[in-house]
Amino acid sequence: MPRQTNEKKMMFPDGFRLEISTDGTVGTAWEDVGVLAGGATVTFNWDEFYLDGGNYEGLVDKAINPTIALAPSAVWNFDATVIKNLFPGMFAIDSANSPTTGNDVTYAGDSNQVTLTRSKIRLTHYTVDASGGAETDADIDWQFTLHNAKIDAGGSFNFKGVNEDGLDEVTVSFTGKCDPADSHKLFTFFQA
Amino acid sequence: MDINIGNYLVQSLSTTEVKAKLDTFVVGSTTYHAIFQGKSIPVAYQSLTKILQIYRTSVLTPHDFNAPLYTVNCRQPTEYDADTLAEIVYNEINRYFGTYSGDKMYTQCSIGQSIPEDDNRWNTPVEVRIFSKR
Repeated sequence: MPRQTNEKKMMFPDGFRLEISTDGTVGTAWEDVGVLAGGATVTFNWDEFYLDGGNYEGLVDKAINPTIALAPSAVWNFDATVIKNLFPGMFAIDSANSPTTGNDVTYAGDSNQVTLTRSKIRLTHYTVDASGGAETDADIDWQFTLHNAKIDAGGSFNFKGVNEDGLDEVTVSFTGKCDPADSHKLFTFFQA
Repeated sequence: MDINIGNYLVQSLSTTEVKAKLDTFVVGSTTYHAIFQGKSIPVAYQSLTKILQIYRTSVLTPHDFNAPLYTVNCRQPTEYDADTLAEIVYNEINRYFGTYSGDKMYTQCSIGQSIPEDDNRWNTPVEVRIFSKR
């Protein structure tokens, strides 16, 4: 067979664990977001500009303001704490006694403005069953980390009707930019 | 693409837990567990009732990447045991990363409904999709 290439470092579609940091951009405490409807799309964006180097050859090609848009598919894990952590700075959570014992997820502000919190977000793929806590870093074959992400304007809760298929969903997306407090890190894509 | 990629299933399903549910037969002085690859089982072993029978059910395409579909027929004398064996197979290789001759492999499983094939002979098929870099 006239194979055209022997390069084949393919990645198989096995999902990933989506986590968001709960300590801002420090990244030592993480919330496992839980099961998603599908995958996630990471989009790299930047602006271009041209620098006139005077009498140096032609214009110099430059890029500025790189950002990364992370759009996970709908979140199926309708956990109050997860929902609060998915909307960093925007939502708060309190234990509730009414209408019965549970949790209240609420708007975090006390005026019409609120300060959003920046977070790290990471997608991790383990090659073993990572649901029981027995996984280790040695079981990771890839990990994508967004170092300085902020929730995009808007999100949604989708409560299904009885005549609809599927589960109730939360949708949210994030945009990351360089972290000036951490060597302007933007993202890290680890491959074992 | 490796036409004999089903051998990977024979390799990865030759576990203690799977073999404990299977009949055995002897060839020469060697005892084998009843795992067969192919659409027909040799006549001499067709009387066995606790077997795994593995064969490919999808086409292989000219594309650079193939993820062929295999069926693992889990045969047992009772429906309960056939389902149990299917569940063992599923737990062994569903969303499982392994290696075969040095190549990275990945398998996904779906369990079909059990089929009564004969008196005291039930088959629960497990559909397995094999992703490989071969």
